Amino acid sequence: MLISIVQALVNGVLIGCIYALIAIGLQMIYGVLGIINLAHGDFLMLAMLIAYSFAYMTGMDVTLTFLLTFPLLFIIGAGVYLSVINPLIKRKPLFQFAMTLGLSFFLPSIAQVVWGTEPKASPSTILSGVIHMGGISITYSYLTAGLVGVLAIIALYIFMNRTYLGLAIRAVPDNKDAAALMGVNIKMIYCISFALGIALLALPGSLLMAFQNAYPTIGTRYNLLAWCVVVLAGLGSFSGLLVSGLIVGIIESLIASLWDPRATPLGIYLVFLLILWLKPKGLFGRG
Amino acid sequence: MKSYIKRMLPIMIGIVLSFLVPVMVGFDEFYILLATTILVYSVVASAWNIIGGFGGQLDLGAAAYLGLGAFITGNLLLKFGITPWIGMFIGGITATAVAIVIGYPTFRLGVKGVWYALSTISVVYILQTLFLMWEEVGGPVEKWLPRGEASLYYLSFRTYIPYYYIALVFLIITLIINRLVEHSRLGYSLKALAYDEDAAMSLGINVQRTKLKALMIYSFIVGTFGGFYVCFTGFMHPVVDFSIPFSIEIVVLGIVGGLGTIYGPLLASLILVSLKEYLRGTFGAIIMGIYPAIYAIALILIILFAPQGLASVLKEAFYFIITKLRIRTMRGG
Repeated sequence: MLISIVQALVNGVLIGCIYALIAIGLQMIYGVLGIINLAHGDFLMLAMLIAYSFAYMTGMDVTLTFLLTFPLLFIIGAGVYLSVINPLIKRKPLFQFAMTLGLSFFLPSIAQVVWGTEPKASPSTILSGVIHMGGISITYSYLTAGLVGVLAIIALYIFMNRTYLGLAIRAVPDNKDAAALMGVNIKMIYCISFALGIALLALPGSLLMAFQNAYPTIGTRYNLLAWCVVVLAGLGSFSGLLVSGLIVGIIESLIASLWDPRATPLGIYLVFLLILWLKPKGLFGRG
Repeated sequence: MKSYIKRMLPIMIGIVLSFLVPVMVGFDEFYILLATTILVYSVVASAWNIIGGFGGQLDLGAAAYLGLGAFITGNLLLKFGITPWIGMFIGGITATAVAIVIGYPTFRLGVKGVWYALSTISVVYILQTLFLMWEEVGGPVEKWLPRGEASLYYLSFRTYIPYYYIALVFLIITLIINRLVEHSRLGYSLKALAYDEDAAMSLGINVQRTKLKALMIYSFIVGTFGGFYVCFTGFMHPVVDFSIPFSIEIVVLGIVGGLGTIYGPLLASLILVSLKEYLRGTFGAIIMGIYPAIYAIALILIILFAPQGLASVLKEAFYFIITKLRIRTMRGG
């Protein structure tokens, strides 16, 4: 019993790091542009399927494909921003929200055209082994996912706090006019933030592909899960994402191992509802 | 009196035409099925209009109420042989009760805007999961309703024509309720708080109660309609009845149709759902996924280029033609 709880905790922590990674891009898009993106999971699906295709075509390990998917997703993100989001940027948030809903219809169907409906599993990876420690077993893929997740969040933290571009991205939502007066190109920052928010999905996309199947409708699951992590962390908090990702991951794996794997959405979304009701600013939110 | 008749004339023509649809398509089952599918979307989108269109609350929970109505009606029929006509009302009342349980704290604690949308869609997820796990009433396998003899008692027919007319009656009732709400104190309060919630509150409108009333009307209509929906599809499945894409589609239809008008969501469902079904019929078998992609592009284009919605575009086109005609007749005379 104790072993299974510890095992669930370890799994939850490691998968939680991936959830935090997924939510980073969402946090960035909401934090900078104020757009409620309900198609984030569908972009993740795109990242997974592109990673699969690269792994299949080049024969490289699927966990390393993020090196290729990152620039491609950045271009896709910039393209989506410039073609459909930018024309709506001055309108009411409702229309941007509606647009992301439209995208959540468009992306799965276009993925269906390109990749078909059957689940895609990646070719075998170097990460298919298992470490045994005491009674606990940890798969390499979970372990890498966890480590990479933490490293990526640290790297993003440094980027946002130490580089000109990162500081500009943070300055825009604080005071748009002042940032513009300081010589920040607002439209450019919006475009870069959106594209970066999408491109950051390359990491979790490749990592998830190491131990999960991908299919066009998998995004629906992550569309709301990513929001769950963001709302739990609070808007504007990047480091809080790691904690809230872990909380969601642990809740999920505890429910799965102690009760019923099918019941995991129940726990997550009940927590989500309670947070929305009782602490809408989240655990680490600003303001 | 004359202006009243003039105003009612298009509505009357619409009703007569919609009653004649089965005749017009030559009693072709396929087209009647299509027409009924369009009506399903129209009813739910028109019911959504009360909270979403008038009240500006982005409720993504339509499938939660539809599914509750469907599962309650279906199970009452399967387990106790209770006619769907009664099951529908029990389903509607249960959906309203659930809506109150969720809506009361949500409005009370001031969850609004997009947070309200996120909280309602998570309710759909929670109910879907619950019914997937609760195998006695739901479960991951479809539960088929008895489909034997055609009978009004079991709401089971061998042709789609009766379903079409029942759905049409639902739509007319929903539109009448829309109309009644629009010109009532509730409707004006909803429109006020959709425009500016703080200003509405300072004018003495009880924002929470107004929202809750709208939510109750909406969830009752959709829950009751769920009872019809389950008889129309003939089976229950948590993923089909508590469908997240369906919930999202309803909101998109509402927004695309034009918020705050009765005919907006109606027009959007008429035009876009027939477009979708047409595309499904034409391309569905050739390339997988191409028809929802085209449909999604149509939605995206409307959001981009017609921010006031389809209703206003058609209105403008109508006035444009009218003025053109008038100028021509004036020149002629």
